[in-house]
Amino acid sequence: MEDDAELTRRILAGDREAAGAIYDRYAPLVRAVLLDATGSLPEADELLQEVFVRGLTQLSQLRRPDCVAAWLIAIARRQGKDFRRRSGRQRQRFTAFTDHPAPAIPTAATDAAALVREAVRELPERERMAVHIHYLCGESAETARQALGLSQSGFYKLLDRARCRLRARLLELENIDDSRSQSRH
Amino acid sequence: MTLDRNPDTELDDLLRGGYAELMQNRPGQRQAVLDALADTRRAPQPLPRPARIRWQRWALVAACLVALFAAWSWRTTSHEGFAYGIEDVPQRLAELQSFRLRGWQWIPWENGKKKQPPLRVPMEIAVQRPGKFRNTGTGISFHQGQKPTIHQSVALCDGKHQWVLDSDNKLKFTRRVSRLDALLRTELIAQIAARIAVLGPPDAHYRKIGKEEQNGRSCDLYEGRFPGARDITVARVWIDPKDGLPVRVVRGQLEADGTLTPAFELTDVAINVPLPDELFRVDDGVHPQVLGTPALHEETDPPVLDLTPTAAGGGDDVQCEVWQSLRISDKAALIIWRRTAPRAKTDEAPDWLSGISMFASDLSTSNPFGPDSHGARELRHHWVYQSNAADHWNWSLVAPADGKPLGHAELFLRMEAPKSRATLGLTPLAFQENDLRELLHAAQTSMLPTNVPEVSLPYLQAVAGKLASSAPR
Repeated sequence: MEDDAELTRRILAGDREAAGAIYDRYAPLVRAVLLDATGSLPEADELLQEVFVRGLTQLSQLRRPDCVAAWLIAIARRQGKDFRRRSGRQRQRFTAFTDHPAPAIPTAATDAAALVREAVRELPERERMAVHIHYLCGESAETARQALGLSQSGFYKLLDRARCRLRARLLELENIDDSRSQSRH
Repeated sequence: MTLDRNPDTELDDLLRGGYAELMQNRPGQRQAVLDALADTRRAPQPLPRPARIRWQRWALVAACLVALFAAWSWRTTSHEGFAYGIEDVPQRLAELQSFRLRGWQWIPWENGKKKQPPLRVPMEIAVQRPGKFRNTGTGISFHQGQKPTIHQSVALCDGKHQWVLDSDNKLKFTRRVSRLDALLRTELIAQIAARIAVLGPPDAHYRKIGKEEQNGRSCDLYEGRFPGARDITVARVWIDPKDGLPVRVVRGQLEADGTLTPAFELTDVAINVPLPDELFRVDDGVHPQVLGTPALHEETDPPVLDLTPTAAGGGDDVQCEVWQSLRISDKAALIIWRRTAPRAKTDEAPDWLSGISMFASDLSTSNPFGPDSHGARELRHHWVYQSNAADHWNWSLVAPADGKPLGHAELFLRMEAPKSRATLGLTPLAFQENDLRELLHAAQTSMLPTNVPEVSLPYLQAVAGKLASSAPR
């Protein structure tokens, strides 16, 4: 597998295939970061394109060509923050639309995938990022981990902590789900 | 879901399942990123500026002045050779006296989950300002596993009467219309349907990709790509640089395998040519299949304005409706709307704006129908008339909070309630000042109680000026 630094150099030389390879490698991770910020997959997908176009056109500003993952994630976080600010302003402008705060437990999300995603979203940011990298980056996980400034042992400690927390949270959600279905019968 | 088996393996499986959707390939999106990168690279890079000595600077200024003078004198003496681009096409379309667009549209459908070849149906939009139009509408009924049924209708207006014919050319509906009503409905078609049919979302970004001959005219070919959540719409427009108007338009969806599924094609574009009156009316002989023209009630005058809502939405708990939006200035528009009564807390007057938001949105760069109205522009609001009743219209003046002109933005009114949400779109229609005065007067007479002081255009313009110039938030 070609390393990020080599791909970055090829992109700067105008190589379209290299840009495609970086997209394939990091699109799921960037999508996950954007999904954390927006809470909606269509919105995340819409922002994703902007992140890649901005990130790859300004690649010449990147000092370390091996840090393209961290570069894209930083842009995604910024886009996510902008998105939250924009949508926050939109909500403030014309009164609060909901009388009740959003429930902490996904009421409509009855499928396991949605519960898992929700549990991951509740993790502290660094732990969440470790989980994203481990499950989304495949062979590039090592590169992404390094680019994010995590040592190998530090990364796995963080991942273990996240998994413990997730297991506890999923069991909790499972119990709540069970009690709900019992109360329905 | 259970974590009893082997906690680690089970958790791994669950997490992989949770991430599966994020891992899915999205070839359309990938392609859009690569295309956007290629476009950015093609944009000319600024050249390094060499240091100049003073006389070179003066020589450059003198050369620019000579060039400007030459361009001005040539431009004012002859239009020959002046090339129009695509930039102001929406404006040019908005100013046309007449146009007729004919072509085809393709209706996609699936049999079970298997994609079927799209169905092709004819389409036509013709406008003769002021007050005459002809417009085809297409409805589709989907039946499980069967070919969908297409219902086409044609709406016509000759400035005094309106007719609707069904696909068998049978008359479905007719009525007399006032001059103002005909003007309003013609502008709705001219300013919305035609513009969007030709160029896609307002402010869509096009780039020139070549030159081609169409119908014996040498045209510049432009291409626009509008990425959506699921696919990419690709539009190609052939513009004659001599008049800057479209000659042919093709639009479709770019599939994952790179093929283009057609959505519609305008092959016959006639602009500012005399259009026969028969095109806009139903006469015996011209439409022999019409089964008897119903009486047009010539003896009674039609209402000055038809107040039927143009859009409505909501659920069991709340509903809202919009009538029209009229552009008062380049930065402000009037929105006429109504809603079901809001729930009032004890001892408090009901807030008729509760649960309501209004925003402007450029359809090419934002998704106004998404939950967060991504890319929407905030609007400041001023009550011109608050009806305090569900069956009476409210008049709201709105201006973008960013202080910038509305441009080609569409306006949206959203109503949110615990059980439902509706987002209704409006195009702020632009009119000549005299027509706008007349429309406002007629609307006030038709909608507002007689004891309401006159809502004149100068008054609205003054309020609009203040609303638009308040400090940006």
